[in-house]
Amino acid sequence: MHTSKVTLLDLREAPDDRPAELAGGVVVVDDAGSLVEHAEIYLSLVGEDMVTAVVCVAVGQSTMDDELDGVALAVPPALRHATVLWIGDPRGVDWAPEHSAPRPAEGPADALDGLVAALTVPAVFDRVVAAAEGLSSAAANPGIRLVSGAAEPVELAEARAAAVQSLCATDHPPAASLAATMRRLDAPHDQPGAVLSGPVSAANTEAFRRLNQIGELVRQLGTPKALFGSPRPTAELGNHVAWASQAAENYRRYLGELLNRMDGQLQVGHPPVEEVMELGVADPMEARGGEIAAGLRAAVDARVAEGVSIAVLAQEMRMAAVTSGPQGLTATLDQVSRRGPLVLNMPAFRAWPLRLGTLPLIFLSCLAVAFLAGPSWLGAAVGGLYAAAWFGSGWLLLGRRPGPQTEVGLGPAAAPAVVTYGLTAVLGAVAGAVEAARRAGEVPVPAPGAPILIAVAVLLAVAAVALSWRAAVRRWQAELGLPAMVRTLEELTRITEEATAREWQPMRRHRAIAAAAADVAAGLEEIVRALADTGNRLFVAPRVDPAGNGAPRSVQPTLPELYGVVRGDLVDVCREALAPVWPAIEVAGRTTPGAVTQRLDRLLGEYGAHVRRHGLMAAPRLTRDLRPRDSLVARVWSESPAALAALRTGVDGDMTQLCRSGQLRYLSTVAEPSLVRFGPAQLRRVLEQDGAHQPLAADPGIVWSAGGELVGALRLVPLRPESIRHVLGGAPVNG
Amino acid sequence: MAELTQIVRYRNVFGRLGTITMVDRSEFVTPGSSLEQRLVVVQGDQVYVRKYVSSAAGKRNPRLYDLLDNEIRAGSRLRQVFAGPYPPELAELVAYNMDAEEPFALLRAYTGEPAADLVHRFDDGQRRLFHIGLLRALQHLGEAGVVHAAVTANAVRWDGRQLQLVDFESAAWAGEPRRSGSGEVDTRDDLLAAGLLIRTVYTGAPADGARPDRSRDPELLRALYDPIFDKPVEHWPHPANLLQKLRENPVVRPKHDPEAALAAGRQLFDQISAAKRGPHPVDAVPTETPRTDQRARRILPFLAATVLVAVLIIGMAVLA
Repeated sequence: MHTSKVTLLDLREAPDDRPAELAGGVVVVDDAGSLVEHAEIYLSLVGEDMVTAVVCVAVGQSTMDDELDGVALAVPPALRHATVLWIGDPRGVDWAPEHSAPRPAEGPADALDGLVAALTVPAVFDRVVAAAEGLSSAAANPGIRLVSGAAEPVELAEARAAAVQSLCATDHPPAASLAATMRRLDAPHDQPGAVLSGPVSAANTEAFRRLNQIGELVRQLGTPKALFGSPRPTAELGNHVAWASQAAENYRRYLGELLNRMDGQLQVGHPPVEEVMELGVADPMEARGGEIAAGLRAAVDARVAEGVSIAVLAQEMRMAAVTSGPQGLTATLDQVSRRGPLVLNMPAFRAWPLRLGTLPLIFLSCLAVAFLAGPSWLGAAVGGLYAAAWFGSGWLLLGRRPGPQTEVGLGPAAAPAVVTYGLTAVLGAVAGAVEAARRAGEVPVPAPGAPILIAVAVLLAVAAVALSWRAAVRRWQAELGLPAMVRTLEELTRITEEATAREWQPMRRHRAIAAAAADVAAGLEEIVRALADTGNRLFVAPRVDPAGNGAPRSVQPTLPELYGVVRGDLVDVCREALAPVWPAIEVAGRTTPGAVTQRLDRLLGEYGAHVRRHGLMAAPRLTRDLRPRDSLVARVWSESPAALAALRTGVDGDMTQLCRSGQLRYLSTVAEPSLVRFGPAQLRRVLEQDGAHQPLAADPGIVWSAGGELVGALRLVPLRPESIRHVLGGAPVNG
Repeated sequence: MAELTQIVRYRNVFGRLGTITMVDRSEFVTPGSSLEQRLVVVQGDQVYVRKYVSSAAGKRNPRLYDLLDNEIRAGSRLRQVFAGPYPPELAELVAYNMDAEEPFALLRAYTGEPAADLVHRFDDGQRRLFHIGLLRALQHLGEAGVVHAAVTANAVRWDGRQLQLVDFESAAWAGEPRRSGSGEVDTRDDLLAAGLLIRTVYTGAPADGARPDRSRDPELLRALYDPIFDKPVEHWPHPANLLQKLRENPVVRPKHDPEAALAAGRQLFDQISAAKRGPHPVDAVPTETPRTDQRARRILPFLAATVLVAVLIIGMAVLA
């Protein structure tokens, strides 16, 4: 038999005041003299299918008027199937059969109350019923040795006051860690980065295409193609630079407008999402309410487990709501705005690509070549050609020089080329020829090594032209600032993509988290208010403060473990009161204001009822962590050697026998009494951890109850058969 | 308690004298005010706040007269500048009298409740409205050249949608030397206190330090107020800039320059002064421009080449 619930029925004062439906075990407390009168009640109880067993506690003596007949109890037939415990005297006498004589019971309380309290523990009830069945008599007189671990009401009230005060306290500054955690809720499901598309992407492509094109033209500028090719890179280099500059600024403006629209949507919900997406960002991801609710719940549980008060947690949750929401893109927008307008300047190309510093070289080389070639017509032709080559080179470089839009052109370059390079070369050649003619005959014609020297002069001219052009190109490239522009655009792209991934794509998730956090914060604030109100009406101490001045007392619980249990229970109650918030978050809804308060009030009522009914040691259904209770049990029982002594009591040990000393004669001295020892299961766990008491924990004779705050032993001494009178249909029949 | 009716002389915000009948109604307290205040009814049904310095209080603490003077100066200036529709974000002075035995200022009844007890319960929408309202109030103050100098939750009232800045007892004027002695009052001086108050509204953190640790603040606040907390006042944005960043267009109210009537006289004074001082020295005009320099530099190679060629020709001719 396993009884899950035991109901107490006291027929002594109001026999008609019975619950409509009884189930499980029933403990009936009745006057011994009324058993026959209440026979029908017992009959109905025993016949009830849902009632597993009935224990009748008969108080007093059935035949007080004739004590000499040796009958203590008159039992109706209906109680044949019930366990009858006869209580001769509620206070009892302390007595150890065969060891000591009876003596007055110690202690202020009636032993009967302890007996009834023990019988209402289902496991004890079952064991008592089983033990009574093994007795030879129809009724037994119980002896009891009981130790209670229940907290004093005053202690309980103090522990409650301290726990409520602790949960409502705001004496610790809120930590920012929760806010940081909250913004990352469900973040692993975010897309890893942002990919810009649409018009912004097209502008990006166009800008980089233009810049790459310039890069290619600039590269070609240092090659012969720049001078002789068709089309030449110099042809419209200025225009290309202007177009690239425009494309770069255009792209920056696109980015700025994109950020502007995103910022507007994030901050004030305008423009609509569609208008933002038009520019080339993806639709923000949908928020996953289930994951957010789960993450939020875990975060709340973690903070509560860390011992944070509900009030501080509410503050942290408010802060988290503010921090988790969309933050706008003000800073990024500023960054992009500050970089503009982007301009790729077209630097001026060197005015004289073939430096004017080469003019002496031109003159002297022409002079030398004409002189070496000799005074003949052939010599004059060679000198003339050489001079023409210098002039042509200078003219070509001057004509290919890139201008602000296009190249200068050979036509406009002709005049300055003639005046400078042409004139110098001609003068040099003429001077050489004149000198050759003047010295004709003095030196052999052609002079020894003249072809080699002329070839060297030609190579010198080619090298001078090439190096001068390359130097001009390099200088121009350095001034162009193309790499800096590319870096700027890459940087703008990066910060825009990063901002998009950080703020835009998780926008709906951030909004959902912020709304959820605000909802939880509101729920927590309701809890704090309700705790301060309803919570403080729990376990109200019956004793009034004698000072009576109304000043708040310093709340210091006498037993820290008791405080730990009450605080833990209240935390569990608060956590359960918050339960309606989570489903609402999953569907992106709001919890009705006041719903959490109502739920908390109900749960606090249930909790108070549970403690009143089962005591604080029995874990309420909401309790998750049993450690505080184990600590309390360990503390309570470790300070109570009487509890362990009670568990070790033998059947003939010292107990309070629930009868007067004169009534001991009704008890059988032949039949063997039964012994029931019991204690709460938490005590067993504590004893198991203590090596010295492990044998006690392993004792199969002890009943370990799931709840209860009682430790003790119960001795059932059978009554003599002649002390029981069975009454059949009103006619007494001696046992 | 019997109602106390008083007939008092007053000046309106333009200094004109008049007489009104005031019926005392009840005591009135605002957390940001050091002055005695009462609610009074004027002309039947209009309720006003009367700030005053009683003779006893004035004897105990003569500084109260300065506070009342600040309130009146700031209120007069604001009412003169915003002679048309008055900004609802600012307390409105209606009348005053500093020459009475118990000098007083009469302000239109404030709206809402002190914000200090309310700011921690704001939702997102209220938080934003409060933020914008405070910046608008500072924007209007800046336009009038007035600095409140004591912007805290105690000096702000809130009715659920509208903010009102009250208690100008510490007010200062742009351009005046700062009371701290460091430079002149800038119209942006209130922004630091406003930033702290807004930080309290958003994060719940108490505004107990001028340089709090803002590393965990919401990014929006950091973006807006970083320059204010990190840079000198010369680099601070104006309230209008912050409103723009909050996507809120600054409300432009018609303004009246109270000193415009004096402009003609001042101009005449300047002219007479100038005539007495004699003609202004004329600044020297630069004789050369950079462009001329550039051109000269370009011509230089031509000249050098020409000279070189000429020298060569002459040399050859001599040799020949």
